[in-house]
Order: sequence, then structure tokens, then C-alpha cells
Amino acid sequence: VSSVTTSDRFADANAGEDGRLLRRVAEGDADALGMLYDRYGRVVFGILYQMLGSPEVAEEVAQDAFHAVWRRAGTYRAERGSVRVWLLAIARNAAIDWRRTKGKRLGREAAIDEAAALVEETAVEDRVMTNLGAERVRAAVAALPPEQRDVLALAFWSGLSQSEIAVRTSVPLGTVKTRVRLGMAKLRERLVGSGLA
Amino acid sequence: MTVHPIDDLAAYALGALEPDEARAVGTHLDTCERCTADVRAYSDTAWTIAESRARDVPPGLRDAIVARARGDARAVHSASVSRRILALLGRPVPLAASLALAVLLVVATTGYVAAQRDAAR
Repeated sequence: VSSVTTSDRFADANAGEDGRLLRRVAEGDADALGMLYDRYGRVVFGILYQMLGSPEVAEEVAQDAFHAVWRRAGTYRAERGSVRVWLLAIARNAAIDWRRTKGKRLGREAAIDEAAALVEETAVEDRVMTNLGAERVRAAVAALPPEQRDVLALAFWSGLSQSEIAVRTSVPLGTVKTRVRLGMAKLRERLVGSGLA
Repeated sequence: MTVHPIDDLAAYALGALEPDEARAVGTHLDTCERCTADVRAYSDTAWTIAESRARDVPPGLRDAIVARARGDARAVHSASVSRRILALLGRPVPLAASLALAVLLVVATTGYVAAQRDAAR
């Protein structure tokens, strides 16, 4: 699935700046954390809102996520992936942790199903980012076979593991794995074809 | 022959593996450039999907994040200063310092006694 595109080269330039900022964060520079937030705060807040279904909760968890970045900046390994992907994983883990602790206590488990549904049902006017790129991503997701789209939604927005998806959907684990792999490969192909990834 | 965890690479990039499965894939990635490249590609796809959901952030969120980090940094600095002071206090006094202090005491006492004597005259 690997390939080099023009957007990859731009990504490399961004990755260099991200790496410099993260090194400063690791050295205890809170201003650098603010700059990292300026670059990625909108994406982090957007996915947390998508996963948790509430702006107030997304705000609380975004604070936790960036604090985790502050504390764990020294553990980042560049050879494993870009800073932004690392940041995305931290944010998603913070959302999953919130659901398993506070969310459960507050009876917000239903948000899992709501969040999964949002992959297809979020109205365009409800979203801040309505540019062409976002629409192309949306179209690429919509074009997937429903069974692949559903497992990706459960993994991405609901934060479920493949094993949990298999139990929840009563589909064999092997089938879930194949759907996740094929779905992601098709998305990759289409997004690269559109110059988006 | 090396077995590549092809079926788990996309799930690894999505964070959709159980912890033990993720550890096993992580160990494999340490020595396999091909699978690492695939994970990076899948991760970039995941990022593109996330990016398409970007939203305007609530006012005050940035300040709250930076203030919390600064608070942490101050707490760490204070703890470090306290540790250094405690370490200094707990350190055994070197012989030279003890001798200097003793000499100082002798000089001061001698001076005081001489001054008292002069005053009595």
C-alpha cells in the first residue's frame, strides 16, 4: 500500500517541524505544546467530538490528550510513524479511556452506536470543514461496501478492537480482520488517487 | 521463514488490536521495513479521515492546555528545588568547612572577651 505522492512530500516538511516542536515539548517547553495545538487542535477536537458525541466532553478529553502529549513526548519514536499519527493515537486512546471510566459511570455507552452512525449520517452543514477534500474523503468512505464501512466505523469512531467488533456484530474474527484490511486498502487507494493521502 | 502479520497491519494503524496482539505486531515492526511501510501508509489514511472531521475549537481550550502544562512544569521545578535543598542539608559537612567554622568561632569569642575586658577597665 506504500507510495510517494506530492502530499507525502508536504507531509515530510510538516513532519520536520512537528518533530522539532515535540522535542521542545519533551524538554518542558509549554509554548511548543501550544504551537502543536495550533497545528492539530482542530483535528483532535473534531475526532473527539465525533467519538464522544458531546462538545463539552470532547473539550475535557482534548485537555487530557494534550496533557498526555506533554508527559509522554519523550517516548515518541519517529521510526514508527509521524508525530500527527502519534497524536491521533493518543487522542483516540484518551477517548476510549474516558468511555471506559467516566462515560460508563455517566451512562454514555449509547454514544458508541451514535458515533458509529455519524460516519454516514452527519449533515454537511453541521460540520465546520466542508471543503472539497473532506467531501472526497466522505465519498471514498461512502463508496466502500457496507460491511467494510461498518467495521471501519466501529474501529475508528467507536474505538472497538477487531475482537470486540466480532463479538458485537456476531461475525467471525477472521472475517472482521479481512474486512478491516480490505476497507483500509481501498480507502488508501482512493485517497491517494485523489491526492489526499 | 518470517510470517508477516498482514491481516493485522491495518488494525494496528487504527488501534483496533488487543494489547497483546499490538505488542506482537510492534515487535515484528522492529525488524520488518516492509510491514512498517504498510503501517505508515494505513496510518496516513487514518489521519486523512480524521482530518476531514476537523472542527473549530472552543475558546479557552488552548489556554487551558498550556496552563496545565505550565502548572506541571512549575510543580516539577519546585519539587526539584526542594530535593536539592534537602540533599544539601543532608550532606555531611566537609572537614575544611568544619575547621573554618571552628576558627571563626574562636576568633569571634576571643574578640568578644577582649571587648568585654576593655569595657570593664
